[in-house]
Amino acid sequence: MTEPVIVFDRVWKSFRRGESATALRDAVPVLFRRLIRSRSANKSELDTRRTFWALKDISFEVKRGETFGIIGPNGAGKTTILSLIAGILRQKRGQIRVNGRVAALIHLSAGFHPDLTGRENIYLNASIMGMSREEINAKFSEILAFSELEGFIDTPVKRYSSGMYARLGFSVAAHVDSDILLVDEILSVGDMGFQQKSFEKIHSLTTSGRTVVLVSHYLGAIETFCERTLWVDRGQIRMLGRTGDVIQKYLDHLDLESLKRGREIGFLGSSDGSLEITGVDFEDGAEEEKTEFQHGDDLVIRVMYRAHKRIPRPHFSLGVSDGRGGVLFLASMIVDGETPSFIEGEGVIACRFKRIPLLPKTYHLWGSVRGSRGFGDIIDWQVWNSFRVVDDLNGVLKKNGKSSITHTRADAPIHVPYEWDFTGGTRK
Amino acid sequence: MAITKVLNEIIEYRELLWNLTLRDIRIRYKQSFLGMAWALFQPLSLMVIFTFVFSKVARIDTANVPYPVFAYVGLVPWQLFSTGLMAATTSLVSNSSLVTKVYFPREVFPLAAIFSKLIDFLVSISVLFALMVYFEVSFHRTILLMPFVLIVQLTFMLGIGFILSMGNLFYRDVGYIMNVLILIWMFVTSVIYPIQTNNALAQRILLLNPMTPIINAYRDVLLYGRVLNIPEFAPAVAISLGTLLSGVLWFHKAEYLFAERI
Repeated sequence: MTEPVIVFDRVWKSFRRGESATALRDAVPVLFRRLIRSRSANKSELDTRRTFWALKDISFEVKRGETFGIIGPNGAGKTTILSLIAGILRQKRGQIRVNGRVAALIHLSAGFHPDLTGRENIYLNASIMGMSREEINAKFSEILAFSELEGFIDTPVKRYSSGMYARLGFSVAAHVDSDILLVDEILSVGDMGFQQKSFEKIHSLTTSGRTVVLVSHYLGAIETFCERTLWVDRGQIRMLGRTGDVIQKYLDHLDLESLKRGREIGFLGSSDGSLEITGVDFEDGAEEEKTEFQHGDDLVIRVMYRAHKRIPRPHFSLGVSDGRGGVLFLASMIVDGETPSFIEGEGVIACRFKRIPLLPKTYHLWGSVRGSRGFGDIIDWQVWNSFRVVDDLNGVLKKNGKSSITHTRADAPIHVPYEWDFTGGTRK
Repeated sequence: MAITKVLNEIIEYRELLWNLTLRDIRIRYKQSFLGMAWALFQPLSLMVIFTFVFSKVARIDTANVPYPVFAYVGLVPWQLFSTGLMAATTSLVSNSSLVTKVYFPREVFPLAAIFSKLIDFLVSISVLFALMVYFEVSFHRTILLMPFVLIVQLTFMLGIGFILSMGNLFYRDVGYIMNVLILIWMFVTSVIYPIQTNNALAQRILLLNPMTPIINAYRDVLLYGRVLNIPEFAPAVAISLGTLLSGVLWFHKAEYLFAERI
């Protein structure tokens, strides 16, 4: 069980950018320039400029039977790692050892041809993934049943919807027998029902004793399936370790990034120049400016403004969002009808949210100002500032058993105190 | 050794090779009304045109064989050669989504491209027999040697096919050049007339092109009942084998660059 099946030993991978020509017309001048430059300029300096290092000094091992996660932002090198394992690319430096047959669920419909029927494509795609005719014959009905495309199997796939296309691709790939399975961002295939099904399928694959390398932006999947996780960023290893620890650090990092972005807000003003928001800051109950709060703190928002003319009955709205659509809670003068009778010159409007029920994460403050009677945007709805809630999770959710970090933080940012009641007995 | 490694990989992926070949054949005839009959269109129509030209404009010595049959026996292998090579040339680029996203030996692309044209060849050859009956050309036992000639032709085609597919991947110009080159190549090969000059040196140079001995060999075994002309054919076999060997080795050496340079 402990024998490594994938070994990366100080692997570097570079891509050339710029002048690699695919037409002779371009190749000739490039050749000329190289000839001239190799005499005048320093060649290695030129090479450095043209080389883009997609992976820098990556080392890790995946053991037999392990489910291994890779996370990181777009362009971090996740897919490059998978392509190297699959043998599609070759490293520039370092050693890679892979023992066993590799099946890649990377680009599910790469092998599909639009003019062929679903049936023909199943055979073609399965043999692309290394299955023999007997294996495909044996699994055909299983693949077909999984794809739920029984009625369309003899239709050319060019008549399929994109969802059907993806379902067929996933079904073939998920039934390939291999020692090592590479999975790249394929959990968002099809409708909700099919997604659930493919999720379960991946789950059963990971528990069937084969080695799985999973790349996903969906941290919930990584957390559910992977024992260990590698976090890469700009081609380098940021962290490698137990999935829970890595995800926690990764989320912290994302939060900080998002906080930085949220606070880099430029000028906020109305289009006619009558009103400017000169500053927005946060305080807790103790009138101290801060950007980090604890679960259960009061959140006081102070909006500094400069009105260049008298504005009667401005309607301010302030909402807190966790980065997804909509806001979690809102204070709006449009709703409650309380407004200052007018504003003019410089001033401050403050709003206190009491005992915020938020879990540790970065939050964005959205705001808008509308005219008298609540119509017409003076300043339209946009992000004004960001703050974080930092807390020891266990302090808030002190429950028995293991707490899942991603579920609480990513899926449910608001914590409402609750109690279970088991006194109702069990219904037979 | 590299060559055994390549062979083993191709054997391991024979299923895929077969399926890709099948795919290319299916796609070609899928939405066409006449289907396979189109395989006959090119050699038959060229046969009619050249028969007209060479009966009105210039006479050709075809040694007792009616000119249409003589031309057809040249045109059918030539069609295999030209369509197979063109398909092989573009095979890597037109499968770029597979090249960049799935791993398997890339040799299967030019192989499948060329093999898929074999079906057209078989259809056309069966029509040849009908033509031979119609023009009262007698059949000879040497016809059994034809598969051997075909294998030599495929050997040569695969060798250049590997090199051209790779060339076209790095420089698309290769495809455009081949369009023109194939046409010129046909006229320096004994496709529609025998290649003969009085200049011994020129003759030797023209015979360096293995396609002339190969097409001559088809005529020998199919029409004239002659066993192969060894002094002419043996060098063609050697050149074909050499081409295949260097093609495979070169292809194998550059293979790892395909995904990032396509």
